[in-house]
Amino acid sequence: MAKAAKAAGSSARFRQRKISVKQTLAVLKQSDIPDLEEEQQRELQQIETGVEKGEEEEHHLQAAINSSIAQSTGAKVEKIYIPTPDASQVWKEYDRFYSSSFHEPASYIRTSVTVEETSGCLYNMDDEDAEFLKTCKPPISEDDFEEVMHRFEVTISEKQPFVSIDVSNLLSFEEMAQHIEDGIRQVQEDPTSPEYILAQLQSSLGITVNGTKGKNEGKAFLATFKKIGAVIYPHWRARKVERKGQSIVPHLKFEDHEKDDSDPYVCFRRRELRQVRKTRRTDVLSIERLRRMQAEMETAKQLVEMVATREFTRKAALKAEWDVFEDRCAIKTLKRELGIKGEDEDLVAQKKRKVEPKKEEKAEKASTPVRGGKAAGSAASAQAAAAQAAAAGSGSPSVSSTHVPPNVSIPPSKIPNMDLITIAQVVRDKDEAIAKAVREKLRLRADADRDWHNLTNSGYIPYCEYLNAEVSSSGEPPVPQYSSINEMAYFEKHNASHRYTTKSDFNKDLASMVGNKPFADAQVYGAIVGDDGELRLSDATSTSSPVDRVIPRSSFMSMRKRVGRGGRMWMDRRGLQRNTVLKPSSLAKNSLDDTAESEADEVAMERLADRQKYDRETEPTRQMSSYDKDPSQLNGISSDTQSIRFGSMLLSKAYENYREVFQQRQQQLMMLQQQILQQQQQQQMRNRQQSHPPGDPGAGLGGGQGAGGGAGGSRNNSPAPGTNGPQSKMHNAAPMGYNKQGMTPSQHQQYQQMQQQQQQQQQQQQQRKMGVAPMNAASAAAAMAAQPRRSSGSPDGQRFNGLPNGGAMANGVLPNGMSQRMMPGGDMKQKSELAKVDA
Amino acid sequence: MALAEADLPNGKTNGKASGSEETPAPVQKVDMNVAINELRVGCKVHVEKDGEDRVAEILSVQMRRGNLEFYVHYVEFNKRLDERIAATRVDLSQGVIWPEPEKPKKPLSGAAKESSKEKKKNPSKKQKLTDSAATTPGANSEDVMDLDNLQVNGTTQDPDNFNRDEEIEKLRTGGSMTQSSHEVARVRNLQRIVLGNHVIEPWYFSPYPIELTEEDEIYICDFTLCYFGSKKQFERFRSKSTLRHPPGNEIYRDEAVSFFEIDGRKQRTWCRNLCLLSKLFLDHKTLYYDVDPFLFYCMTRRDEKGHHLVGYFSKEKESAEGYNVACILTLPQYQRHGYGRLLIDFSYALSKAEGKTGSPEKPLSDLGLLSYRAYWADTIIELLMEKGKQEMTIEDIASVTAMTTTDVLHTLQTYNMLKYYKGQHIICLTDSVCEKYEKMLKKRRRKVNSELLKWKPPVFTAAQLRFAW
Repeated sequence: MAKAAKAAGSSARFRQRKISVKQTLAVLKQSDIPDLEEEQQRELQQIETGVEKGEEEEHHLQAAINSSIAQSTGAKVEKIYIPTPDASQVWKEYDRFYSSSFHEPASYIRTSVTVEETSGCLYNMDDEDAEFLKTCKPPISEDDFEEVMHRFEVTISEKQPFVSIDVSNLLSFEEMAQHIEDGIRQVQEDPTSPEYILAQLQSSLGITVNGTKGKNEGKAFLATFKKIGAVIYPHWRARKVERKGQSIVPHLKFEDHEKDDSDPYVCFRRRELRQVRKTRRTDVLSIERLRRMQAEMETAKQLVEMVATREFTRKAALKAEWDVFEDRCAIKTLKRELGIKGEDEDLVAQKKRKVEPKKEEKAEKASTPVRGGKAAGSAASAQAAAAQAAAAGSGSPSVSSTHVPPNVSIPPSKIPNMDLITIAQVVRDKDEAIAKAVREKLRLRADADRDWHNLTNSGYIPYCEYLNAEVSSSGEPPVPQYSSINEMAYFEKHNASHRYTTKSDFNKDLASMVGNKPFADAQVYGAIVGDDGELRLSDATSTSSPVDRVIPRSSFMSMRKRVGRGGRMWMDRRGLQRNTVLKPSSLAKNSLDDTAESEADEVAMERLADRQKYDRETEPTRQMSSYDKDPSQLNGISSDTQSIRFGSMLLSKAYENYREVFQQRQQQLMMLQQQILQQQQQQQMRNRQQSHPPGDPGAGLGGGQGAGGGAGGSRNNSPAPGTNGPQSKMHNAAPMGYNKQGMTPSQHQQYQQMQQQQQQQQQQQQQRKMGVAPMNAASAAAAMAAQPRRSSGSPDGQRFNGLPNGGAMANGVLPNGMSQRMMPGGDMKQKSELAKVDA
Repeated sequence: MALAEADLPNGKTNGKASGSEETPAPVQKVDMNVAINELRVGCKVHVEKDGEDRVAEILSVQMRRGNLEFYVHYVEFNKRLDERIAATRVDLSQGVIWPEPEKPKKPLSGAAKESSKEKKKNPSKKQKLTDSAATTPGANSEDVMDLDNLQVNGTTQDPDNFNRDEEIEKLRTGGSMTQSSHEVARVRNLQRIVLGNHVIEPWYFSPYPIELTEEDEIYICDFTLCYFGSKKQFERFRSKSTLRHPPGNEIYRDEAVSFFEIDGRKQRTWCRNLCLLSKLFLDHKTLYYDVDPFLFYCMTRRDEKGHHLVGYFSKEKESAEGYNVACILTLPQYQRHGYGRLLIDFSYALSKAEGKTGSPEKPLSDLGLLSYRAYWADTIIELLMEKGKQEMTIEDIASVTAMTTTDVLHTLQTYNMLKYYKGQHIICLTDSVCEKYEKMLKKRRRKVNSELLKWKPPVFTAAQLRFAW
């Protein structure tokens, strides 16, 4: 072997020693490769055989291996067999022991019977027993003898497993017989023993299993045993003693209690448990599984027990019923016999208990068709209605407590005698109680909030007190700007509860606050503008009237642009109402400047009406129902959105406010300078006024349109930018078309004069009061607006479109007796922008 | 036969002398003056065997009917040829070799000469083993094998370093049914068995009840494999027993044979009987542990009396080492009829059905080795010749035949088919191989027809594979 290894090593430089099983190898016949160099081939070497080393060198094996190797190298060698001991003899008695009765089944054999099951009695008598049997009188059959011997052996191994230690202690026949009888009886009576089950099966199915003992066989054996047991016992005892207590039939040596590995006759030891690597997890899992199984078994057991109990109870109930019936029968005959006449109530089976459930069932039945989709009209009857209500309340197939699951039939006697409520009823009651509680809560809330206004919608803007103080101290009626800011100012003045800024205000307004009525119904818009053109709000007394209160809201107006025939543009507005306030008188005043002599004929009225058809932008009838009823709700906006909106508004407005004040101061300084200049100019202008053209270039507006108020506003340099927004929008809102219609150049001149005067007044005022409040500016604007004027759109008006509701309000609050109008299509662009703002 | 003996004269006296030359250390003390009744167990004497003079070791000394008898083991013969000889066959004139003095109290231990030889060899062998382990790390990877050192499982153990406790521990955990021959009684304990209509001489020791060893012949039932020392008992038993076939499921049936699958756990008695019987003919089989972890595949021949057992192989329900056969035996009366090949073929058919490769558990017996080698060679040659493939990997061959790649390589090497040609390994179908194939075609051997196999690989739960009570 060492030589071979060396040889392999020497040729290693020529050839690969290792081979991969995944390497593809060419399969070639030797005849195809004559150039195969034999020298390079491996020297034939010893290959491991898998045979034990000692045996590998055995003579015959080596001979055989060498012969096969020789064969493989082409040598002609006879095949060598390893000699084995003789096995060629035939047993002549074979046929005597094996009968020819086997029939091959067509299908493959499948069986699980064991050797013991097919071998009959496990004791086989030997020659010694045969000798003994010959001497027996009366003769005993071999089968009986074996049976008895087997029973002796089995019994002794059960009762005296260690009899081999001392054979003299062997059980006596009497003891043995007793044990055997007990054993047989026990087996027969034990319903879990396989013998018992087998016997049962055999008797019930009429089959017999070969080589097994049934019940009868046990009895038969007992009879035989009584007959021959005593005869056989001495023989058995002798053999047992001879065997020193070992079983008479020799058996294999199994492992004893002390381990004896050296005894070659000990075989078939029990293998120790293969050490399975255990993890706790599997333990836990299996324990869990076992527990669950146990629980399930318990449940099943309980169920079965309960079913059994129920059935017993039912049986008892039936029995009782039967007894009652029998008793009644007896009473009936008795009554008849004795001639007792009376009420037979006690003889009639009372089914009272069954009545109620039946009614309920009827109700249920009635409810089903209704639920099935029939018109509610069919539910005219009270019962049906109730059923429907019940059905509606439950929302699901109403299962009343009287409903019995179909597969469980409860005897009528078991149904409790009480008023039963449907689930539907219960659910309905519950729902109602909840609704009621909610309503009550809401009512209480409304009560608590009655004196309070939710103004979060129009934003509370805290602003500096000094601005406001001037107004309040001046006693001048505030000019409402109809912005949210104005609102605030108004409320601050008249309802101190909304103002927290200063103590002084609080003290001052305390009295009025106490006297104040809450304005719960401040929803009327139309009331803002009085017929006389005065602002109601300016009247201090009107504050007590809730109707007059103006709480401007967002206009619920929406617009739509569309292109009509011929490319005409249309602006549709929604949310407008007919202007009911429109009066012929005012119309006349307004429109008949040029044609004063003509009478108001119907056509004109119609035209006017038509023209004014869409003039009102806001809905007077629109109810701010959410406002007064539930302050917590604003415009249907969620409270979250509101708080965000409100918060951002507060911030932006506060900043704006501050900036405005700052700017105002600067502007006022500038204005003072300008004023001086203006006064000088005015004097000059007065001198030349007669020859001045109407379109003043200073107005910075289209000359044909005669920019009046707008020009004034812009020329005035917008006294208060904060208030300029609404004002300018007001200008925007004023349709241009009216300028031509309603103004003559002369009027325009007059207007300009008046405007200038107004400006002067205003400037004087401003001079007088250094702290210019928005109110002030507003009042100036209002004063201007009080004059009949036609304003054109001011370019800077749009700058302030961002103020909420400003634009929409502007129209409504114009302090002009003549309502301002918008002409459809007149100022399309600006309106659409307004619409955007509103949206 | 003659040629083989001429080639291998080691068993003869002359040969032995050369053997001692090789290993000069143990001086064999030949005592020329020994009386016949002085011989005792362990002595080596010259015995006349089949007209030849052979050295035999005395394994037991008995007095029978007043005559002195020796039970002897012929050196370099398989144990199955051990026999009881009359004192007259011992040739005392050539002297007696006394057992090793250091082991006088161990009469049943290995032969003195053998063991000393082994000891001399051991160091070099071990050296080689460790060397190969160190220099061929590729041996660890699964698909690369060192052609110079193809290891076969189960044969690396040194018989002299055999540790009893280790061996038993291996048996305990490994589920193997083989055991070192050093640990079982070396004396055959039964004289003759009557099995069916055959009278057979047992080969080896088997732990039948010790009472039966006193009988001249024991009777073994052909169907239940139950054993009886008394003919009367056997007769009674045969009159009652109704079993006519192995007590399991028939999983294969063709015109000649049937195969039955029997679970050792379910048919304990039958399987124990089978093991006792097969132990008579298998040296390395152990009955140390019980039959539970094995399935027994039994081949039977049918006739009008029933299914007669021809051979069987056992198979671990779960083999950690990938063995597809634990023990395999064709009963002696059926040997040399091709049944062994059929058994092997069937074991590979099962492996194919399982989709695994498999190999028989080692060590193999001499007969086992020859049978397997013949089967492997025929299978591979047939595959290569029939398919006419131009190229194949070892793995391909393994997967088609369900043989392990080691066995494939082993076989190719044994038949000198693995050659090195133009810098590459090739499988060379040598002329002798082609010749062999021609012969095979003529022979028309029996084969397992896989279509007749009605079998699904049995699946066992962990609980079923535990071997405790």
